[in-house]
Amino acid sequence: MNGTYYLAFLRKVTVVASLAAIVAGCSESYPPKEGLYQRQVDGEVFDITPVRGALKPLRYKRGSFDYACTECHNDFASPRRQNPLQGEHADIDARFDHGMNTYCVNCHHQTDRNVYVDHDGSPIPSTEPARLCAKCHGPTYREWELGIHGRQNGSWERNSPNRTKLLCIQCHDPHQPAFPMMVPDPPTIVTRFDVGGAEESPHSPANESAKPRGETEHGR
Amino acid sequence: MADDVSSKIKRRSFLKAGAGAAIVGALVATVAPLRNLKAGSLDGFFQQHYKRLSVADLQAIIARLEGEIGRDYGAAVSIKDPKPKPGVRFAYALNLSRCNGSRRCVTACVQENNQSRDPAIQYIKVLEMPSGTFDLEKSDQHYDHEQVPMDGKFYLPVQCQQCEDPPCTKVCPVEATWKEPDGITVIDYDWCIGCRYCMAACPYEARRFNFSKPEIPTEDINPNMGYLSNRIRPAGVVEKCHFCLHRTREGKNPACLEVCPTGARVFGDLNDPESEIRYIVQNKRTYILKEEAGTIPAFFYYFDV
Amino acid sequence: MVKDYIQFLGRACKLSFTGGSTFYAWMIFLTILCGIGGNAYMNQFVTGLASTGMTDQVSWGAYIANFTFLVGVAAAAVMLVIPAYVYKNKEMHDVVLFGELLAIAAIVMCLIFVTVDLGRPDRFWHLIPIVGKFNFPISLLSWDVIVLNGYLLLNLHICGYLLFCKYMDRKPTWLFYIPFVFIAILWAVSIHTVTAFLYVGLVGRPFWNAAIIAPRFLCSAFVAGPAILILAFQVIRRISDYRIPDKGLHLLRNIVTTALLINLFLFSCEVFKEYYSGALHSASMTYLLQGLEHHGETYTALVPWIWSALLLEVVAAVILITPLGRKIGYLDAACVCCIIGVWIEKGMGLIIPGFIPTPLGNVVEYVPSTNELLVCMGTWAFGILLYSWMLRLAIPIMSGQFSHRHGIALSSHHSE
Repeated sequence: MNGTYYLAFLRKVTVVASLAAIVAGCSESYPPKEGLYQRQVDGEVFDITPVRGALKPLRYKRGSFDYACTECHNDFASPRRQNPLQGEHADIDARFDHGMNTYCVNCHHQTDRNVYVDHDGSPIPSTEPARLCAKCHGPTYREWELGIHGRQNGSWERNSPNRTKLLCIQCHDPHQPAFPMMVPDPPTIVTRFDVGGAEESPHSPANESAKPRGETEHGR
Repeated sequence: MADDVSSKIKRRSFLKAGAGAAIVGALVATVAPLRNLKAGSLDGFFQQHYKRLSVADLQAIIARLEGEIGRDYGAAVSIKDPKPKPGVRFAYALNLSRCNGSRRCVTACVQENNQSRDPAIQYIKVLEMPSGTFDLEKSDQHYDHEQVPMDGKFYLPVQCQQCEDPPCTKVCPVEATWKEPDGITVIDYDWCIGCRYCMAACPYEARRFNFSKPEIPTEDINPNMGYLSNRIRPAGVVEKCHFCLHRTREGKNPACLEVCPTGARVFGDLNDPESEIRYIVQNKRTYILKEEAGTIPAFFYYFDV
Repeated sequence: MVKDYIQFLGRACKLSFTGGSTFYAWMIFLTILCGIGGNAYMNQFVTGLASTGMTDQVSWGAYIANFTFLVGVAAAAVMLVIPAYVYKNKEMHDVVLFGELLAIAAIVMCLIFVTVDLGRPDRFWHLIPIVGKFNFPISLLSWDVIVLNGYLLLNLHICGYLLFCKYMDRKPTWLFYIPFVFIAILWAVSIHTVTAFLYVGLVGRPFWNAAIIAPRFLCSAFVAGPAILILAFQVIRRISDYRIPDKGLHLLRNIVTTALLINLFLFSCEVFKEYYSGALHSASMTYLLQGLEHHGETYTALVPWIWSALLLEVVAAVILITPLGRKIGYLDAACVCCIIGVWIEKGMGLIIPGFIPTPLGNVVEYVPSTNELLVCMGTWAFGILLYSWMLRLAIPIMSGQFSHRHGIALSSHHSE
């Protein structure tokens, strides 16, 4: 009993550590860590941070208690159906928007929250989130495999070592996968007489809105 | 009598001298603005067309240009001249289901390609189109919403389409713009005479003119330059998107692709049968702009569904 | 021969500065205008085309509009040549010369307008074949360079030769001018057709990409050119003794009348084509005639101009086809209406709307800057100055007062 428990604990730690590594790569706060999303090649720097925003893990909050799902659900299985989320879980529902996919256990393993689950109930390791998404998003997964869904940075050459491909959850927050709205960069200048649209051109009698930008947040 | 004649002669000479002085004064006043003119170098004046330059010539020219940019803009830069990769034919695809109109591509392009900030030049125009039409006259280039994408709209970024049969290269009277073997239409900025015929000819409004000397703050200058691409242009010449050839000819992506937040852009070699761009062209329902113009663009738009 | 020619040049120089107070006042006035225009151009040379009102969207403006109008004038001036030489009308021969001198002045103005429009005029040598790179025959602009300069040389030769022969009291040798005259007839049509093809060949500009543009160009040229000549002839009659036959004026009037009616017809063809089907590409015509609504703003800058032009042309047409047109005063008024109407119709009514809306559907209007207008004014002044100077030499030669035998012997009752 002790040995198996110890092994299970070790396995949990490894998995949690790898998950943490991925999550850390996803960056838990903004601005993101230097390195991963600042492409530095020959001195050029682009901010290529994906738009998904900060990782917002779902947590169970009640009164002064604030738990991660794994703190309870590693020890007992959750029911197959739990829709609607009731009682203490109701506020999790509010921050969860994955379209028609409303069951936690569609993605998460019933007993082991550190792995995902396949159609037949077998676990998908947390290092392979794409296999999970592919369960329902087949065409998107196939395109991602081909390289035409999502962005491939670094090089257009297929076999270049500089090429990087992002994982699904690096762009899509798995609990709210739809891309959030973004603040667009300033509008195209109307004519060369307008710089950033702040003033009306002395020569073009009428032009577009071109409002001054002022302070704006760029939702990177 | 003698006094009369002599006074007449004196008056005439005085009038003549006065008239002469007035004419000289007027001429000086006419050309007065020229004192503000910064004369270019003699080498620059006699510089030949890019295609006629030997390797040594080009090295000398590049050295001179680097010096001039250093003096004029205060930045140490290096200009390269990457040659096209043999057998490569570039093309670009843009997924209109993904573009959300963020204009990050516009900004990245401006930063990468040392475009003038004042007056501001931007190679890429993102058109906000109402869903259900491709009528470009219904587009809005100057949308300024709080957030994008807006409901009922789709977003169409337009830049130089690097046409197979470009109208712009046909009309240039001095052959300052031509199509390279890898499909990129380039401009020799030191050969262009600024007649702007190519701008009238382009069906995609892709070209920009430097009405005055470009102004770029020193700290914003990208020092990695290409002779035919993003080196700082002189006044009075035309420029446009060149698929970041100083990057793409070395295997890197164009700047607009690197920053697209939704991954809507795909770039690559059409001659590679396994490339993503090839897959898109062969399998997706691609559209090109103004197909009736017969320009055969290398820029393909498609929807996911 | 050479000695005579040098003497001729020397005497011509002297004659250039000979004249009454009106002559001096006129030439000095024009020179001052040239100076102001020259100064404005120096400004532009230093600051770049930023001193104009042109933008990326409307990249050709007042300079090219004036250029287009003047190419037409140059082409039409030579239309007198046909009746004189083809129909062997002896009386017209002398009159033809003044038309060709007008063509020279107009072509020089065209070349100046194209040069001031360049972003890098210091790179002009790039156009020279072999030394530079001349994109002939693919680029229409290269054709334009050849035909305009060729036309200038043709006319310089013909006029120079005929005037020098008259100065020397010698009958001109047939071979040295008749072939050139017939070449000039064809060449005149070609200069304006090539200029029209500059616009017609652009597939991205549906307003211009129509076959009717070249015929419209030629027609409006045959309205404005002869109209200018009619007015010029009357000035010549007033300032000198030179006899210009009435027949010449009638011939010109007939050309203007016919061309004006055809021009109005062709314009109405364009209007029908654009409006009947209501297709998307008619936006430029709508902008021109009614104004264009775009994202909540209405753009109507050119509407008053084009309607004024049409009104002027219709008024002129009415005058010319009625017996009123035979009265000199009304004829002059009709000519002025024609010139202004065609100038507006060609410049603002054809060049500018080609850029509005832009190929991507944007609408940016164009207003020339003050500096730009001053350069235009200076160029026109230079052209008129050139023509006045050429008349200053040509009229005495043609009337025999400036000849080899007795140098300059101007009659005392010259009213200049």
